Amino acid sequence: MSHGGKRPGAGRESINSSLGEPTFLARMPISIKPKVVTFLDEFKRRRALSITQPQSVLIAAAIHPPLLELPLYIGKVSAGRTTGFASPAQDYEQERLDLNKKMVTNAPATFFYTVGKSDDSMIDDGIMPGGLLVVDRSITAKSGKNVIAIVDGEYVVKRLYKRNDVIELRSMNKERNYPPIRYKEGLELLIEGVATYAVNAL
Amino acid sequence: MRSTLSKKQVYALADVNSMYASCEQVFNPKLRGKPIVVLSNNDGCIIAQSKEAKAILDIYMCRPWFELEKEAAKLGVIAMSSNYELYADMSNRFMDTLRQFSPRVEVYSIDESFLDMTGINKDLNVYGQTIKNTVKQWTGLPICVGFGHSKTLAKLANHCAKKQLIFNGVCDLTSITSIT
Repeated sequence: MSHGGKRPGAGRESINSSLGEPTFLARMPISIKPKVVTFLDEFKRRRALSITQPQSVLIAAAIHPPLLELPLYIGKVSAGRTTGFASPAQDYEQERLDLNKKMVTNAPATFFYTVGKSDDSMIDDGIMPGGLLVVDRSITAKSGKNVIAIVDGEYVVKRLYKRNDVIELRSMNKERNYPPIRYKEGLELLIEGVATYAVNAL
Repeated sequence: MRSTLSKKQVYALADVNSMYASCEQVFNPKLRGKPIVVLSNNDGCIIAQSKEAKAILDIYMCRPWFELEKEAAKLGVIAMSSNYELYADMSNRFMDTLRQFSPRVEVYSIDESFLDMTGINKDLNVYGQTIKNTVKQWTGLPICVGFGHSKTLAKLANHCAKKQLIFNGVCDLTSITSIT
């Protein structure tokens, strides 16, 4: 058995969870402490907010979109390794699918939002950077839904969490572990609508 | 008495508050609660203003912008050029939302619509609030609703709903029997 030296798991964690990146220790004059502390608080707050800012580019949803009906192949496409592709001629399928109809269930209340190009805070829920979100304002936002919210004047897309008195907007990215935005007195938090579909290029 | 009343025509007028300014505020949360004005083509004159702007500027419809520009800048009023594609889109959403509340919707202008409420056997004050809240949730637009036995009276009722805060955005003149 060896003695001395660094033991695994000892000491401070190298990644500070509230700051979201590696940190370092430094000595500073007492006189500037309040400034630094204020700066850090602001930094944390911005960090929490800036993670997800789908630049709110408005793309008008067509109110009476032209139909684009394409045949819907009912045969399942296997994503596993066993079979290839179901026969396209299987039973001469007649059912047709219009993506507008599928994704836009309530046209007057449906709005499209684009997700910021570098915004990876929701990728575990399938909301990819640069993707397009279909947002229905007429749906009531319940706990567990992906919502578009306005936090201090900025658009964010997050998963809504509501339990008792706790309201949080949570990021969904296990790897990056972004801190949630918790509602508290004085924070301006407005739910704009529920994201129903995400359209991502593959 | 009740049966003769219910046969009378009843109209509602739904009207968006500061339509162009409200449309801009829907898509730019930073403009909400701020004094903003929307200018006509080439920024010639003021064609819409938020209620915050109304409160601090001496604005009347189509007032030339150059007369107010300096004062507005001093007061922190935000001026925007008009974006008619946006307003037309929001107008269509507003009208489509209204169609679920009445079988007959008559589009009167970009931001107002008459709804034929004849025979709709409901507490109109409550129904008006439902219309107002649904439009707000679906489209983000704030509206006022007025009910009357003629279109003129509905328009008057709408004016009352807008100007008198006590109505909370909905005024039903049909409930005042002396007018009927």
